[in-house]
Amino acid sequence: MKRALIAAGILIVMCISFTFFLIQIRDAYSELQTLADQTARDAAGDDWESTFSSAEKLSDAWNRRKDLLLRFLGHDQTDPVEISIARVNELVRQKNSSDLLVELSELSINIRRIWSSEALSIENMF
Amino acid sequence: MFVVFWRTTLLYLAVILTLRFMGKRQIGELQPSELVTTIMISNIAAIPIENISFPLSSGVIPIVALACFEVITSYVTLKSRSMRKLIVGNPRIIIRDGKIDQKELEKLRLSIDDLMEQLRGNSVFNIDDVMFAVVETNGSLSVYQKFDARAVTNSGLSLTPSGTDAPPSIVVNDGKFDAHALDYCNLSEEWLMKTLKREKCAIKDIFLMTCDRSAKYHIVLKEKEAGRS
Repeated sequence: MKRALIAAGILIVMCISFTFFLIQIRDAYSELQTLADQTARDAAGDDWESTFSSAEKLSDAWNRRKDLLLRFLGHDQTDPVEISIARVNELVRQKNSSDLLVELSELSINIRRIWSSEALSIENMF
Repeated sequence: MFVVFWRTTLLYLAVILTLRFMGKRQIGELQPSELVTTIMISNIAAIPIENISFPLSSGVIPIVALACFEVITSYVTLKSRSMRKLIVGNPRIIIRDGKIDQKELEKLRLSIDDLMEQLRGNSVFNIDDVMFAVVETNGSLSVYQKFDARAVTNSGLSLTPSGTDAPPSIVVNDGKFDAHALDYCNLSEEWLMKTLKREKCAIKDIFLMTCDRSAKYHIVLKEKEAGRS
C-alpha cells in the first residue's frame, strides 16, 4: 500500500512538473518567436539600430531560457536554435538584410520545432 | 568519455534503485508484465548512454514512470481479483486426476515435449505419476504427484525431530560476526569465544561459520588461514 501510494505520488509530481515544463517551453516559444519577428520587421525596414536591439533581446531571451530547455530537450533540438541566433547576430553586425531575413525564417522554424515536438498533440502522441 | 562514464554510473544507480523500489519479486520469478517492464527499463537505460545528445532525463523519466506503473499495477492486481485475471491471468490445470487436458494444452500452445520438459524440471520422469499439473501465471509448472509416487515425509513415518527444528544461521561471514544470528541460536558471545579458542582460530580468520540452536556448528576458514593450519 505504502509503495503504491509513493508510486502514485511520484506520477502526480511528474505530471505537474511536465505541465510546468510545457508552460515554460510554450512561453519560450512565444517570446523567441515574437523577438525573431520583431528583428525581421526591423531588418526589413532597414532600421539597424532597432534590429541590433531586437537581436540582442533575442540572444538574451535564449540565454535565459536554454538552461532549463537543455535539461529536458536533446541537443538536436537546441543546437540549431543556438547556431541560428549566432548567425543572426553576425548578420546584424554586417548589416546584411537579405541573409538576415533568411536566417530569421530558419530560426523561426527551429523555434517552432521545439514547441511542436513537445506539445501534447495527436501527431506526437501517435 | 567522462560524460559517458558519468551517465553510465547515474543510470546504473537509477536502475538499481528502481528495481529495489519495484520489490524483491522482480529479481525472482517474474510475471509477464514484470518481465516486460524489466526488459524495457534495461533498454531505455541504454539510450542516453549510447547517445549523449539525448538528455539524461530521457532515460530517467521513462524508467521511473515504468517502475511506478508496475508498482501500482501490482497493488491493483493484489487487491482486485478481476484486475488480476485481466492483467496476470489464471493458473491453468493441464493434468487433472491423472488425465492430460489436451484442449488446455492447445490453448496454452504447449506441446508434449514442452510438458515433458517441465515435468522433468520438477523431477517427474513418468507422466503416470502425476495427479495434477498446473501451469502458473508466470509460465512455470506445479506438479502434485499420485500418492504412490510421492516422497515419504517424516510425518508419514511418524517421526519427530530429535533436537530443535530450525535451520542453521550464518554467525560469521567473511571475518565479520553477526550478533543477531547468535541470538537466533540462543547462544552467547562467550560461547562463541570459547568455541573459537577450542578450534584455535579467530573471527577474522573465518570465511564461514554456521550454527544451529543445538549449538552444532560448522567452520570454514579463509584459504590462506586454512593452508597455514
